[in-house]
Amino acid sequence: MRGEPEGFCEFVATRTGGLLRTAWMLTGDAHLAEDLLQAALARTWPHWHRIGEHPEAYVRRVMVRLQAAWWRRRWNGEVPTGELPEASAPDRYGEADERAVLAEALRGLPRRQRQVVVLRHYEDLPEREVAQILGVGVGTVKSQNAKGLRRLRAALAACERTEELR
Amino acid sequence: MSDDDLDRRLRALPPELPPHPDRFGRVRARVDRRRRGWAVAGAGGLAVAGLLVVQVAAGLSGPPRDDWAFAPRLDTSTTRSANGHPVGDAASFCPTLPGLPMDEPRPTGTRERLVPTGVPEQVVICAYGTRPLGAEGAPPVAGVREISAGLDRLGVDLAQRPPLPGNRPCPAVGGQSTSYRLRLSYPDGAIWVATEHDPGNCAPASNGTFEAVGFGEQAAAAYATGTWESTPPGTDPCAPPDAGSWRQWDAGRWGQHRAMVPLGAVEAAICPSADGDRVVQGDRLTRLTDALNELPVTDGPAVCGSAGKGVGTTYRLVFRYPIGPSVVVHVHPGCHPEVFNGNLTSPYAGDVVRVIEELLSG
Repeated sequence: MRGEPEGFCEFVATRTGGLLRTAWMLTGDAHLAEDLLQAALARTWPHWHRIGEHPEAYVRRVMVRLQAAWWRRRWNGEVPTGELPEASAPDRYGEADERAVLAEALRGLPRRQRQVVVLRHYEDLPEREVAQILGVGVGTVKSQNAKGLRRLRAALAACERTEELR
Repeated sequence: MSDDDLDRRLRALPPELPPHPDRFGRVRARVDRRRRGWAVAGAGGLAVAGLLVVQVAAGLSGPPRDDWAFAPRLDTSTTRSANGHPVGDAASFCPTLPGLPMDEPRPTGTRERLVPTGVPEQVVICAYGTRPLGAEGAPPVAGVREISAGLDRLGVDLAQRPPLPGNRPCPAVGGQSTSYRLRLSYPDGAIWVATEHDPGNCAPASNGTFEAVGFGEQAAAAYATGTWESTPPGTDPCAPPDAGSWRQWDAGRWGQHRAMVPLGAVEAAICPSADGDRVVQGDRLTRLTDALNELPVTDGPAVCGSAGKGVGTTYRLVFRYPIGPSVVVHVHPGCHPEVFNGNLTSPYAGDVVRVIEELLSG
């Protein structure tokens, strides 16, 4: 096999930690996140020499598209639901409990809403760039983002109400 | 809650994710696999394109070539020796290794499966000389014979062969291996399939474009007897698998690369590592398959690695179908991954262990 392109190994070794966290936000699972990142890097490898100065953006775009393809290819056990499931055993520590609720709510979002929320609010990308990555219009990004945030807020509000009742 | 506040909470969401110890190595392996896949697909595409060019040229330059529009039946009457091991014109019929002929019209449905679904009209198997593991050079043709019985079973078994998973663990077993090439004729074409009987029962099978779990053990048996056997006689679904051997008889079923338990199972044998085997059907079977198919999955076979939680009772679940091979799902609580079927893995068993224990006690 041909050797790796110049700089690729260093990129994987030093700059993929952030991408792994993005992958986790997209998949909600550490093992799936690692798999998604590795698959995206494997697809990036052949195009490395013409990616330019922003390889992380390129890999992020590949991850989002791959995740969409995986989602279509197999049902992954997630069922978008209008109502959040009853929280499991509450944590003694409010912050940890709130994180668990937010993570669960994020996992419960439909794929497109989750992608928009992650790219817009976790990656802090402008709406136009999110639309470009996802191949949709800016209007779709806005509406999906609003719906996603509404559901996340509802989840956190329900969590806070539970805390107050304790 | 303001947008900024929500953004802050979202950014704090990912847990501490340890760096993978060999991420670059894994990526390199994936790239290698993708390149091999493209090379095989490219070779197949070139072969098909070449064939089309020849066909078009023949059509333009003369009368239709009916003699190769469809795969002809092969007359093997002169190739079988008295002891059943043919030697006649095997050398002229069988391809030279490592070749896999792709110059005949292929039946439809061979890009996603090893062979088309349906019963082949004729199956001929070529065997090659044994060679020590790792030896170089093409071994000569040893013989050819027609598989005359069990073609319906053979058609189902090979069509149901699951695709070869990536990073498949193979035991390092010394000894000799034997290559086989099978030519299967269908009404709309013929296809050659390669496999190998190796000491570890680990070699894959391929039709040139689709790579599947091998069937060398069955090919060797079919070459010896002229009959295709689907299942070794007297197999107990809960019998422990051979230690250190990839059980080709238990390779699984097409579709297990898409769902932990493909549709259509009629019963499941639950085989705990402790005592208490049980067979479940109907609603109880549905509960079990639903629990397994709700798990998040990823590609790849599995070698159980202890996650530090200690491994207690493990379960081997054998799902039987009306026709064709079974699907075997392993549930190893405390391992990483906890559930695997040969093609898919799930990091967590979720509700599966509870469902199994309820089914065993109910």
